[in-house]
Amino acid sequence: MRLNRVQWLYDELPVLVRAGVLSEDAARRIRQHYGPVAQVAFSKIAVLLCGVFAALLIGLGIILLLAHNWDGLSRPLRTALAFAPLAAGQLLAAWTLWKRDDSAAWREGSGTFLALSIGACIALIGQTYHIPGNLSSFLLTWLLLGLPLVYVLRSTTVALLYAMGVTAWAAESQWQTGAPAYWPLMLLVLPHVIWVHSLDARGARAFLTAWGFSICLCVGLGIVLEGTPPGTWILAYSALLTVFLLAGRIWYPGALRHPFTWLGSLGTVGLALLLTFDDTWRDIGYAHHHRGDPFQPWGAVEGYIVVALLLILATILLLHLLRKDGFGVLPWGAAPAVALIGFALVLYAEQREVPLILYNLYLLILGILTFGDGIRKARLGRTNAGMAILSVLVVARFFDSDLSFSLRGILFILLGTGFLAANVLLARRYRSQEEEAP
Amino acid sequence: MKKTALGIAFVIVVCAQLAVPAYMIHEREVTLREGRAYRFECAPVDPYDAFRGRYVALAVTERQFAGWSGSPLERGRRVYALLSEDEAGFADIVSLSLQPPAQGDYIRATVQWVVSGKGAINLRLPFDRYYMDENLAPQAERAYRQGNRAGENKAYITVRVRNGAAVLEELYIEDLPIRDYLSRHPDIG
Repeated sequence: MRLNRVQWLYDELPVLVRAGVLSEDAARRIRQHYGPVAQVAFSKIAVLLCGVFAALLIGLGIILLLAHNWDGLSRPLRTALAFAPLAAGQLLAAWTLWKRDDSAAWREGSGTFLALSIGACIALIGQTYHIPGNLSSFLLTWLLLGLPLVYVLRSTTVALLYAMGVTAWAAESQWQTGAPAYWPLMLLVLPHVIWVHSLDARGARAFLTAWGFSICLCVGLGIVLEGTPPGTWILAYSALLTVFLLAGRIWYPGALRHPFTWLGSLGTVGLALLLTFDDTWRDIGYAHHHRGDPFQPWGAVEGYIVVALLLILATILLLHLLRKDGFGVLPWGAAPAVALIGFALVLYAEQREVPLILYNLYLLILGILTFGDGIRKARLGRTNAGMAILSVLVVARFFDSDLSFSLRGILFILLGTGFLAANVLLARRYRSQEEEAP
Repeated sequence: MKKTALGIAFVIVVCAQLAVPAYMIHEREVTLREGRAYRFECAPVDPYDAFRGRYVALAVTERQFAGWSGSPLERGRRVYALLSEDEAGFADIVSLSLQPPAQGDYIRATVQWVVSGKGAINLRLPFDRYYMDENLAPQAERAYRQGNRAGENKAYITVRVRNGAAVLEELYIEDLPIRDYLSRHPDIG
């Protein structure tokens, strides 16, 4: 975070002045330029989180109390009580907008309480009138009534609850009627996410939204993808994870703990590892297409559009990074291309062994290049990451009983040859560096 | 200006949040006050299915309609079930249609599944559970189960019907509302 970087620079200034790198005057002007380190930012975050947590607990407690089934009361009284938390939440939100509009803690807290009260009200009315259970329509109604609070109260907590709610709705609806509305529903909250990131891309709210929405998208994509043909998830997830990774490099460079970087890199490696197993490729192709309820034609069309858009976006981001930073990012950015080749081979040539070899080679190259990059730049984390990729690949192949001995033998020979080649190249590089050094 | 716009937007949001539950209540209250009461017999249920949480799950016998001769119906399709009463005074579905009937009491239902080749359709009716206090629900479930298994005591529900809307009014065992039945049979436990 920015806070830490400024503090680090201030800590370094006396060292640089003593070493004669900077003059006292230059150090003073640097301190003037960045200003005092805003220590109070942490206390503001604490207040915000406490407010939201308190509202969550109170809201959930009221829901639990109302779920007790107060059927000793008359129906009119139960109906009136059903509106009580909703009315209280609305009054609190109104007061917040009128008197505390500048306080993020009040807006987040009142928004969260009101959002939960909507669900409590509808649920209690359902109990009072014995309305049959239809979780899907209950969730959808709750979501649509709560969504405006994201914009009126500028509440990121409500936005995150909304994204989780949409994903839960999709999980509930997909097996009944399909969930083609998942993407339009998620897009409805996108303006808020963009606004939060435009305010402070490295702030706490941007960090939370990045984590929350990334995870929701990863889960939701798998739920709503119709799989026409089966195996489309390979392209979809490969492209999505690459988009995360490349977006992290473009908009949050150096932020290794950013969710985009974490999910993008770990996800790409995890997916590639999964695709080195024969079982993963077994049910791919038109021959395995499911028929019957609840196949949704609109869901299939949406799936094609989403996959195409993700692939296009991944390509655009990759080309941008290649022009800006060179070919270093190519191995990571090539993941969708590898997925496309493998998927096409299985789909049209009904060939499973070549994609397996392809993915093993891909992980090998990725591991070696990451390891080499770490050695070259003396970055221990990257070196370890490269070693970890290579290690899991070796372990996975050794214990992969689905592969024939001959195929495993070929793969081990290729892996070993790859290691040797990397060793030779690195040794030559170090020798030439030592010869060039004075 | 920004604050005014936010205020107007908030008022619209509040109205929508109040209107939706108010509409849910209004339709059901009018149906309960002005609708005609029908009795639906409840079928014996697997005791492990009867109780789910804080309500008693109901399996109404009059869910299947035999004799559909129209075009094939897909799952989830909205249909309208015309009602009458049999000699015992229980509700009977006499016909199904894709449009609301011009005369008679009917309820909105959806197709749950179709028994292929037999013209029989299983319907999802708009009443499948009876909410109760969490302490009484287990006793209600046992009373409901005993009443159905023995075959002697009919368990049934009364439903108010009006213009396609149906609202569950009460659950009866031995012609007593469930709470009265439980208070007279404290030995059920």
